[in-house]
Amino acid sequence: MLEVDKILQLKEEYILYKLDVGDGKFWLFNIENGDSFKLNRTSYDMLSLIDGKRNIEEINRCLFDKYSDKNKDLILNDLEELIERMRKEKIIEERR
Amino acid sequence: MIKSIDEFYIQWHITDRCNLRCPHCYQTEYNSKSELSLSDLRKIADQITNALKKWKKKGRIALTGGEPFLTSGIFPLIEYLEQDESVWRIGVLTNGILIDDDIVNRLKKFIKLYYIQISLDGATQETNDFIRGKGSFKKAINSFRLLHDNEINTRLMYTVHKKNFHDVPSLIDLAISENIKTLTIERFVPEGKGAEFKDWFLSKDEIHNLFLEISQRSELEYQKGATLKIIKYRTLWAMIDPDRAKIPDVPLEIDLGGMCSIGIDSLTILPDGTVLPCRRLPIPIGNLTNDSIFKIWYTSDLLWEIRNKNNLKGKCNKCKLIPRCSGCRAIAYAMTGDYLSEDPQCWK
Repeated sequence: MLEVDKILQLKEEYILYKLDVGDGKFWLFNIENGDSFKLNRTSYDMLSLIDGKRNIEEINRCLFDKYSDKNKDLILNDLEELIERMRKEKIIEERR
Repeated sequence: MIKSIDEFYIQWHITDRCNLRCPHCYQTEYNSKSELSLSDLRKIADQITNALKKWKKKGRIALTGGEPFLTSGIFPLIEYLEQDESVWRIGVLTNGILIDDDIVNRLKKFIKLYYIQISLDGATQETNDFIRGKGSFKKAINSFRLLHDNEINTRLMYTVHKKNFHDVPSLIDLAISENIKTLTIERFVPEGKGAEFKDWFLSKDEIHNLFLEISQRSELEYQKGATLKIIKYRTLWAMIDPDRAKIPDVPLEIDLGGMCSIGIDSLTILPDGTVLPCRRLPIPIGNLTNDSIFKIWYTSDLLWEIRNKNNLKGKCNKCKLIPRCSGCRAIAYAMTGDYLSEDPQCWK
């Protein structure tokens, strides 16, 4: 279960990029070791909100607004999974 | 032969020094001030090879200048580069003036040295030496012969403009008679010193007629079994025959058209480590003595702007030939100040 008051951020070597072609193309890049990850729109939106300013509760609210047609439990579950994976991969960290 | 999609091209200018002063040159400085030490060159080489491995690309690295044989660093740099598995092929782009037995003997020992490219700007001494300087034609031809005698592969680079486009048919004859394997005819980009010679820039009709003539001649030579390959997988060529792309596995010798490689599979490095999207598009996007190659490649706004073909303007925007053209961004910039504008020589 996520701690809703936690503030997370991308580690400084990671950047997100969106290319506005067609339905959009989305990436996460590591500018130190060159790793690149192709993202879907939802993962991109979620990672964009993990900005070192919003806590998890605020991120949830933003996502509920943006995806108001989607099931809230599903959104929470996706976010939890993404955060878990990104923490494991050492891509995100708690704000210092 | 099928075009490799796994290749990444690095054009690395290791010096600005040059023994010629061609009027159409993209440089403006000709001194050694910006040259890096061999140790710094090796650090840049390490960045390049790390990136090639990460991206799983085969590196084709062309070392040039200025005149690269004016630096003693070129030989140890080639030696260093060719030890790395990610480096597939190495080329040297030169004016050919300094090539002698000593240089050829040193070049011969490199396993990955794939070609020496020599520039000419005329098919005759008269045209060439008017542009490149007295005696340069004879010296370049002698260098081609010396390299061939030593079984070193050569390429001929020809920058085409008002002062030399009439020579192109004779240039093809010359290339065949001299056993040159590859001929590249590049459009003149009026930047650097060349910006003073915008009146040398060919009109759309002149380029159209020239490309048509070269294409017809190239196909004729291919049918005759000539070994000369005239490079035509470049911007604008696709318009000569838009249906050519439908031929499966079309041989490179008769292939037409290619997209600008900026932001896709090439980078240019200047003597001080500055990175340009292309040598003819003089807008720095980083410096490899301070920035990682990954940071430059992933975060340059210019590269992303050009990668997104929806940003192209005028005729280039939504052009059906984009997968095989996209116009020359350097020429657009040199002639209009906007690298996203339509290619000024597009005759469509």
